[in-house]
Amino acid sequence: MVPPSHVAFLKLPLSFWLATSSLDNIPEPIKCTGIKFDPDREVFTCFIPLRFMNVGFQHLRENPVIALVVTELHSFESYQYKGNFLSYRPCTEAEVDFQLKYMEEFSDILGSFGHSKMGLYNAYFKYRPIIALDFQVTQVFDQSPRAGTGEKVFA
Amino acid sequence: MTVEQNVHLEDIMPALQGVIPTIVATASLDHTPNVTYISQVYFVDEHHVALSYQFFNKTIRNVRENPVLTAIITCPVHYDLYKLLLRYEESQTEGEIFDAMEIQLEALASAQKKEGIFKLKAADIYRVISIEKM
Amino acid sequence: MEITDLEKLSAKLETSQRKMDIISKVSFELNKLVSLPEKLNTILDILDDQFNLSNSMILVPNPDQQRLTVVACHGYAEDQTGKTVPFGQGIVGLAAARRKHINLTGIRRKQHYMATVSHEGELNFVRPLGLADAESQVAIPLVANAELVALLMAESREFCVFSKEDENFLITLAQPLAVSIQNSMLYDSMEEKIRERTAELQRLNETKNKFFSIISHDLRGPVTSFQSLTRLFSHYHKLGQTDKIDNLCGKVDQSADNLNHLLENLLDWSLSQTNGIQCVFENIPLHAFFQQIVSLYKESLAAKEITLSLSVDESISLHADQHTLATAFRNLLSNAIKFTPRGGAIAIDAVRDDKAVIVRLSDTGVGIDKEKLCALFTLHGQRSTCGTEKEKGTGLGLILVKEFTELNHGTLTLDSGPGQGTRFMLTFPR
Repeated sequence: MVPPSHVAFLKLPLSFWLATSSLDNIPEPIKCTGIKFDPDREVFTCFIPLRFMNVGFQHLRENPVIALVVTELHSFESYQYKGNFLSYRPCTEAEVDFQLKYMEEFSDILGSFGHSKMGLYNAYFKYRPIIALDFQVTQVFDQSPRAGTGEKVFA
Repeated sequence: MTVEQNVHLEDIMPALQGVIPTIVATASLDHTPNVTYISQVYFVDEHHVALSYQFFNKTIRNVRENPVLTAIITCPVHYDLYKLLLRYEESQTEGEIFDAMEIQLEALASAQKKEGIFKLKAADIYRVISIEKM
Repeated sequence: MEITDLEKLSAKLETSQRKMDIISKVSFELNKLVSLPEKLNTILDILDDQFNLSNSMILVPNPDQQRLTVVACHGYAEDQTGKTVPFGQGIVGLAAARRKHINLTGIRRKQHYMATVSHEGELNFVRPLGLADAESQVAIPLVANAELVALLMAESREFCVFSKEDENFLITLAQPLAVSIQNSMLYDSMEEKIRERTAELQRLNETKNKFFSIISHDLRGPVTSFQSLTRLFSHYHKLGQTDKIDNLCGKVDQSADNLNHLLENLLDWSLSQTNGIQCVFENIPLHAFFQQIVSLYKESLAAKEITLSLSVDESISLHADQHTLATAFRNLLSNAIKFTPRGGAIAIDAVRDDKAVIVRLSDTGVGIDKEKLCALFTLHGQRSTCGTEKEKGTGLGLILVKEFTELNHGTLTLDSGPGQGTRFMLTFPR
């Protein structure tokens, strides 16, 4: 399902946003402070400050479908992964360290666009505790701004 | 998430100038969410904003069948995040809002001699249901 | 009312007060009757001082409405004045073409996205003027009486510098700015017209002075001579000295010739100054033409024992106006005789090629100082110089030669030096 080339791509300091939907079709975007992808199980582990998940949890209780968009901010290469919520748990210390490293690299990219690195860092990354949310990928879409955008990607 | 009742569109104008791209989430009728970046949410009046419709994509398709859209905009001055719950009302292909959006797009394109490549199909007008500072 | 509301109200009042101050200062500057660039630079200074528009410029459309040219700028390391941008290109060109204000921010990211999406790879921004790395730009067309008078552009390397309020305020300022700039342009063009008129009046005044100078000096002399000669005639007649009367007749004849030549020149010059010369172009065979000219001066040449050689092929002709051409060459020849010492030589020859007919007139005369060469064809400071045998003139001769050569689409060059004679070369298109 997920092309092998994506495994390396997903290790880059990309932008990650999740979305959920209620059964009355109200969508909710959720900021991730990092992700890990397990290619064997095709499971994403998304790290999310708990305070960003209030509405998301309500949605997941009634509708387990999740969308994750990943974007490389310089090239705009972008993919959307859709799937089903599996579980969540508190982050481990190692996972927090992993996120801090990602946040540093990602903030540098934002800084390269002329923004205050610390300003954006604080906006997204200062909140604790952080949870680790797993979801199983069922569909992959190419969302880069080029010919074929929006099409399903098959392995 | 903190809900602030007194946030008005006029108070968050810097966040509506497209310095930091906006994240928008939509849902199809079968409750499948979709999330993507868009360049800018435009201020229309105190109760309305507009999104540019340049290409037909999943966001446009979802909004046409389920007119609710949630946007996260970021103020580039203070880096505050705001969540806007929007309801799609209509697409305008002419008029003041369309012209203002189109001229901005063309000003950017013509500076790179790319006039005509980036065409605005319509200005999609949304009513603002709520604004939350995150 | 809560404290935050009071603070907001206070801030609004402060902003309004500041804007009133700016309007007041700008209005004061706008009402000054000064040149356009001076006025525009002052306005940009005020906008920076009061409004923090640290980088700004004013552009005006070219008459063909195809390009805009920077006429005033403020805050740039490199002077932007004189730079141009086509209508329709970039924020400035598009605001001018559509006559609509444009306010953009986050410019570099948005253009980066466009460049990437259009698969350019490299960014290809066209920035003919202003900051190369501007993040915010606002362009306000200044329109008065339905005419695009100018365009105000301000920019910054910061994000979100120009709020909606700022934009609206600049739009408010745009109207009086446009009217004032239009007035200044009219003022400048009136000033230019006044300068042109003054120069014309000065020229006419010089002409008038010269005219009266000739009448009072050059014409009065011969007329006084005639009076004296008349008295002498009467005196010799009473004494019965006919041989002396015969002698006087020759002098009268010469004086009358000189006077006639002078009057002809004066009339031609007066007509040329009032554009009263009507040229009738015709084919003029040059050999016969010069023979006729030379015959007029046969006696003068003989009197000074000057030899004249004429080397003009009979097949050469010139498409020109007979009267003005004859006046020009009469003056050249008379001038050559005047300044060639007794026993000297004058040569006239003509050659032709595919494009031109060239006539040369050279003498073995006293030549002309380098200092005098420059003023030779202008009225300004022109004083007539007496010939080698104290022949008089008006100083109009060479001015007429140049003007009439040009009336016949020709050009005149001259080569001379003290004691080296003078060589005139007149080139006429075929």
